Amino acid sequence: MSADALRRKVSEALDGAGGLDAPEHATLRAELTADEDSAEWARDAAKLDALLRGWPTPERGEDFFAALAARIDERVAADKGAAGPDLTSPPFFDDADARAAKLATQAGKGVEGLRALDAKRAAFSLDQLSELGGAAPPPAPAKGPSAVAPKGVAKTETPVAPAAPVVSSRRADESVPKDSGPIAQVSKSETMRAAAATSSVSASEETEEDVPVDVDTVAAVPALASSAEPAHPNTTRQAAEAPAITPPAPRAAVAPTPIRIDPRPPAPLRDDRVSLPSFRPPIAPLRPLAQDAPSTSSRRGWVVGAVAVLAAALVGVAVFVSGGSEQDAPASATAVATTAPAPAVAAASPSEVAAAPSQVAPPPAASPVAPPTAAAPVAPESASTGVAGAARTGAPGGIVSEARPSQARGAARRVRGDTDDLGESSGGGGAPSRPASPAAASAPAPRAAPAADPESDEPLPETPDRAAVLSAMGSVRAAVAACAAGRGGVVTVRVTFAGSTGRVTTAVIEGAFAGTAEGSCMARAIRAARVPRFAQPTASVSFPFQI
Amino acid sequence: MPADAQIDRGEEAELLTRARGGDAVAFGRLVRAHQRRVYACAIHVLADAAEAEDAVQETFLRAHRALAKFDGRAEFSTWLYRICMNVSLNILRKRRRAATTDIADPRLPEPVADPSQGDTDPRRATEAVRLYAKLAAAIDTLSPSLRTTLILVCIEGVSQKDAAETLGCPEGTIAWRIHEARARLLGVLGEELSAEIAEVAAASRRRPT
Repeated sequence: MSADALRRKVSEALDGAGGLDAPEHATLRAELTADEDSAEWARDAAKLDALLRGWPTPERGEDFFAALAARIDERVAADKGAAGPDLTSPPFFDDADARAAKLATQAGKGVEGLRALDAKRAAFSLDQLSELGGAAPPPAPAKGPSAVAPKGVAKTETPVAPAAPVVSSRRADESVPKDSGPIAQVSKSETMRAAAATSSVSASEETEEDVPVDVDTVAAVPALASSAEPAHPNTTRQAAEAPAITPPAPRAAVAPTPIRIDPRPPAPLRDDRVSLPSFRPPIAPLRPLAQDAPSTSSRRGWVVGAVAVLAAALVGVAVFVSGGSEQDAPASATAVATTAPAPAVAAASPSEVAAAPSQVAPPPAASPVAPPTAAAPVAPESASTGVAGAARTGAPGGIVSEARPSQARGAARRVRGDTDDLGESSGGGGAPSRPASPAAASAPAPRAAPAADPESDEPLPETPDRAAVLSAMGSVRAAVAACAAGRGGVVTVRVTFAGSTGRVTTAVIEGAFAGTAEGSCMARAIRAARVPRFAQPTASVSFPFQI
Repeated sequence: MPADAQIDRGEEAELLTRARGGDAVAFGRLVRAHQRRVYACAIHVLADAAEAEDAVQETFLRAHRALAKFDGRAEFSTWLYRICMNVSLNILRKRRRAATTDIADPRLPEPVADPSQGDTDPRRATEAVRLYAKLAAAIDTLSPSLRTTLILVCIEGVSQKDAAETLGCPEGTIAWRIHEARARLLGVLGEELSAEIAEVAAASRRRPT
């Protein structure tokens, strides 16, 4: 018996009644005598169990629990039955350990168990694919031609979506077991959505609500999607960096396509402009992920697929033909429009300066608050919105009147991001509202965020100073006093602040109000106190409130 | 433990029936009977006294709202553990974004010798606190699935069957997680589990059941 198997048996014995010393484990004990390492492991595991089972968690007093129960009674009585997520289903875990446990459990059932697991995955995969594409896909080999292609070949294949549908579906199933009840169903859709999303930020926002999902679900999904298939390094990079370059049509394109063999050595940074569609041979026609409505028949799906294949083939041929002559060009027009905002700024700025010189307003040098004239306040804003407008409309120098940069979309959003920085840097302290020359205009604007945070440049104090603590406590004094419900006295509170945030992490009420509902209310009120950030991980203070 | 915190199964079933009918007093009895266990579970998952208190309140509030869904096939405490785990994991998820840390771990015992429990050596009490601090830190490194399973089974003493019911997985999965958690904790603690420290463990107080 291997050491691992022996240790597993030790664990089983420890979990049972009587532990390792139970009479039925005599054989196991004899086996342990022959394996000194496992015997030591068993002794340590038994000690660990003793530590865990005898964990002396500090007991809270009866007053504390009486107050807690009273508070619960109050909340239950005041509860209007507000609609919220159902938390009575089992929690769902999507960490690697949960998956490994599931696999181990299935493996414990023998080959049939593993087959069942695999069959379940396949079924889920097919379900998801039929939802996406409307037609049940034929059995498909997992790897496309690129998996076995020589190095020079792989460079020409560019994934067209951040996450390939087949791989994402299968991986999503691995992370979301199908038998996990309604919670898994919710998480499954979230997982699929997250796998299809181009940004993990949006995925995490979708799971912001209180739902019984695992804390690692959102973080795990993009990693799985990106690592699901071994790929050429360039293709991985492209999938992460250039989702906007590829048109939506190729996501539906699925047909065996001859792979272009480039005899020249690979040029890693030039691959972005080769926007060939994805050529995943055996997959059934899939519609873009944005179209969630299921199709009515498989025939329709095939028709759509055929049209998409034709369109993709045309695009591919066009790129193929033009690619040879443009191979050494800096970048395609599409790539410039979507990935490089700086040229757009450069194109916009000179004409703006020439066409609208009146907008170059003199800086408000004398007074920090400029008088409400017509031209002066507009100038800094127009510097940014004008460029953003140019990016939106494609017209160089186009000045738009809308002043809300948050309304910009798509590629223009990236341009706006830079121009907002320009606007911020020019709008505050009398700096010129726009660069004096086109060259200066085309230069990337420095990010103002670090400089705008004075705390990032100054060394943090080791601990919050006395004045800061007094101020923080003073800010919550009224709330604390309100909790006393007419009772008076001195309430001493032990407060712990986190250095990284300045927030209260722990507030312990001591004295007459300890363990009472009033004390709980006070602790809650004190948690609103804030001090400036400091260097130490935490700092604790005892503060007396005179009520 | 006060008298109202102890109820037998028959009384619990009766209280549940009354609570489903809107009897607040009956639900209050259920709260008083189970809040200690729920609190202990929450404090081991969250390692924060205030958050654990919030989690207990939220657990019973959610339980009250969903009382009609409790069909009685599982133990009421198992059902409460499940809600508590969901609430606690949600709190953990939000706290992770805030990235706050709490150095005053409420899971740890006070470093004071307790003669009533047979402890008369302050040094040993301090050693015990140090050891449990390391153990708590090691537990915090476990994944949520391993940690919650370990807390339920090894610390709270929930049977593997009930833990499987609480966490919605087969008993084999629970056993695997316990084994895996043990192996990882042993890997982290290493030499800490010396004979002397084992004595501390043996002398440490037993959780009242």
